[in-house]
Amino acid sequence: MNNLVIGQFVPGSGILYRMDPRTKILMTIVYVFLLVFANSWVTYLWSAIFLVAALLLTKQGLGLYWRGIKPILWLILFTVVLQLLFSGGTPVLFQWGAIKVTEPGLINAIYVIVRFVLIVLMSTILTITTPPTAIASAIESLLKPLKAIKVPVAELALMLSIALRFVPLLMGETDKIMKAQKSRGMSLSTGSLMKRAKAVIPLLVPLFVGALQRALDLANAMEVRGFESAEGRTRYRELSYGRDDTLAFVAIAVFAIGFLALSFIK
Amino acid sequence: MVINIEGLDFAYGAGKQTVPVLKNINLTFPEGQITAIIGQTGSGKSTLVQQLNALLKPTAGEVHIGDHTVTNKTKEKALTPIRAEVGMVFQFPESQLFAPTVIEDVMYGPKNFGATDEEAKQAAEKALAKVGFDTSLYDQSPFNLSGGQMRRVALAGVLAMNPQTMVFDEPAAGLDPQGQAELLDLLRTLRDEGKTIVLISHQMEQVLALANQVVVMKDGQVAAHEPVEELFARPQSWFADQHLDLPETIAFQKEMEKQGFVFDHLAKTVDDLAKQLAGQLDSAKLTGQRSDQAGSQAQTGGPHHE
Amino acid sequence: MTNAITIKNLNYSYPEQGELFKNFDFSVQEGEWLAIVGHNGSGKSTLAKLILGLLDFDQGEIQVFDEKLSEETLASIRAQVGMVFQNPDNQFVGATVADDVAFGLENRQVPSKEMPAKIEAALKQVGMEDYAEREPHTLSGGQKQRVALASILALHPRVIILDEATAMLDPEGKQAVMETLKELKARYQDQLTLIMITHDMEEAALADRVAVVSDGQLVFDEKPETLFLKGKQLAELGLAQPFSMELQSALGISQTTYRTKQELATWLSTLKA
Repeated sequence: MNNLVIGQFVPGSGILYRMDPRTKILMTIVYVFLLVFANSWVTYLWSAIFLVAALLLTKQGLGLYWRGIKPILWLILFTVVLQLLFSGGTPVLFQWGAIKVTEPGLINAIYVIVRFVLIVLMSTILTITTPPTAIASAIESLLKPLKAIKVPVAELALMLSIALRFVPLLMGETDKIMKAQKSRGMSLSTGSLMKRAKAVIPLLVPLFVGALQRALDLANAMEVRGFESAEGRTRYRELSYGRDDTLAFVAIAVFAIGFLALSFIK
Repeated sequence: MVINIEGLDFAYGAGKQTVPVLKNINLTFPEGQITAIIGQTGSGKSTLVQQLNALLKPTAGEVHIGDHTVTNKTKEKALTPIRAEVGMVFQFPESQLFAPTVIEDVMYGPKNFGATDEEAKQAAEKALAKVGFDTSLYDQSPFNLSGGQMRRVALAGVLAMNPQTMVFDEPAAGLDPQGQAELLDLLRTLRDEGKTIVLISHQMEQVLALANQVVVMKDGQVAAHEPVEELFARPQSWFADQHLDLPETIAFQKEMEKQGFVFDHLAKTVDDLAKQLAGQLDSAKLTGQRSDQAGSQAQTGGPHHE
Repeated sequence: MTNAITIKNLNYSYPEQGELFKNFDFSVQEGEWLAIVGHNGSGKSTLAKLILGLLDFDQGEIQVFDEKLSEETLASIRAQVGMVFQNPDNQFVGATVADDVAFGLENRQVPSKEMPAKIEAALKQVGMEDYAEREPHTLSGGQKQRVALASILALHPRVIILDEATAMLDPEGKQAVMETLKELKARYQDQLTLIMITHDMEEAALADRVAVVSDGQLVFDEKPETLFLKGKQLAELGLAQPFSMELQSALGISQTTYRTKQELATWLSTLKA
């Protein structure tokens, strides 16, 4: 029912599945950060090679990633059109009335596409190979230093993992309530803005009440199973740093050094 | 109003990533009858009934609902009027309540379909009376009610639109025996008023007690579509293949047939079953064996291990 | 015999709807399989919540084995009493089956290294070991309830309370859960006390003892064999009789005894004319 690949875990067995989620998150951050500074086709090429290597290491079919990109294609296209039409410079490649396409505009547009696609694919690799709980505990672990300034890191991480767990459930519930109210004649697409805003109430109230009921039930279930505080619990999925992670850090370091070196070649 | 499904296919999703759910469905829901839809969880029952008030459009084929025809190409706007004619009661319908008071919640449907406040109020009161809802609670918040009362309000919310056809998806789920019995009575009343009723149920006793005809779904296809008596005359092994139970009375009857008992018709009720059995039992033996049988039963013990 | 649960002189009023239990006394023996039945709103689920300290009572005393329920003993009592709730979705905490079973172990600070074996053992007892890495939305209701049972079993409870745990399941799911319960009871025998809150009489028939609750009152408290003879009184309480008893009354057998469907069929065939 739901074709969204971004943010979804897909079980598999590649090397990237065995890596510590903290490593993967850090790698993704470093990669995205560096990409912002990509300024030449060599740097993009270098980044693309790194990404393809990572893609292959997930041992997932490329069709999966294509599905990840597809839903945001229109967004990419929109950005590209903006880039094309509103970049100045010379030489002008094509002009039609006020609309003109310049060479720097075209090059920029291509860069934008590449950057966009690379960033999306890299984050998709992270979420495809890492279960939501692992992401939550990795974030908790990475944010640990913030405990010193009284940020309730463990609670936040638990909240995040429970929120992730309830997403499919609430999506199903939204669909059901929407259909129930449609069956009673609800129509969200007609009338003034005010009228439309009002028309959402029969959808939002039951959704809210239902979520609240679930939250209360869940709190009971958690308490009965001995939950007292997010602090001081042991971990089933213990994060452990291994040889694969060292390799990954070497790889990202090589990438970063190469990237910096290449960005000075112009 | 007759609903007629012709050559219907349905799949979720679009393009290459489609998940086929329903395949080549041809069905007619006759006017003024109760049609039960049964089948294992995931066999496509709920998806099928959502075609009946155009919540879902067929991927291929046509659905004729009274004077309306719904196909893949029908515009969203054209679908809304259908919903006034076919009321839909979802499983656990109390989760759709939203208004500050009971009466306002029940008025929501009629008002959406153009009723004035006064008309909607009258329709709501009539519907609430029909489900046996206490008049003193009309101005209560629906969220302060018991589960059973909330169920009634939700049912009234659909009844108030006075649809000619009503679809119920597991309407008795979660109710206690008394609540279930009251609900079955309501369905009978609605049928007797001439409404067409479509009922999804896992409870074969309900199906046996209410349905005129039964549609059995399996893997998105119609595995059987026939009068209720014909369906339950099928052998037990057929039901096991569909992952379905037989109603208790009929299962017992089939068990006794194996022991050499003969029945001239399917037992719809326990009383009916008893009557058919009694004629074949040795009444003298029945009285004679009664007391010592009771004694030996207690001794052999463990009657609750089947 | 030791009492697993002892309730003395319990008083409890709902915050809004008023008094439910007044001077309520009740006990459950260790190793017993007890069914608590009653129509919706009879107070049977509230009783379970009180035993686990999810609701506070006004007066009286609840004792679990030799510990009186109080703020101080709450954690230790919850370590001995597990509960499966009605809604399969709303008690699934983990992102996968294994994570859900792990949740209780994590709370009890079981070392990480010991968890996988415990999780596997618990899942095996409910026949869900092949589903360890599955996410909840890919499971049926019956499977989710069995996972809920496993997550309690992993904690080695002495008492398990099932609060209408099969009410939202289809017949197949119901049957799978009931089969699992029978297996567990057979395996643990007197080491496990089962309290099953239900209004399904076929389920209650599996218990050693059935307590019928109506408006906070204990109306009947006896073996299913004798309780089910009281068809009329049960009907007045909004409860049904099991099918085999209904049939026996319809056959006009006035002085009768409790029989399962199978037993009744066998018995009747000996009476064939």
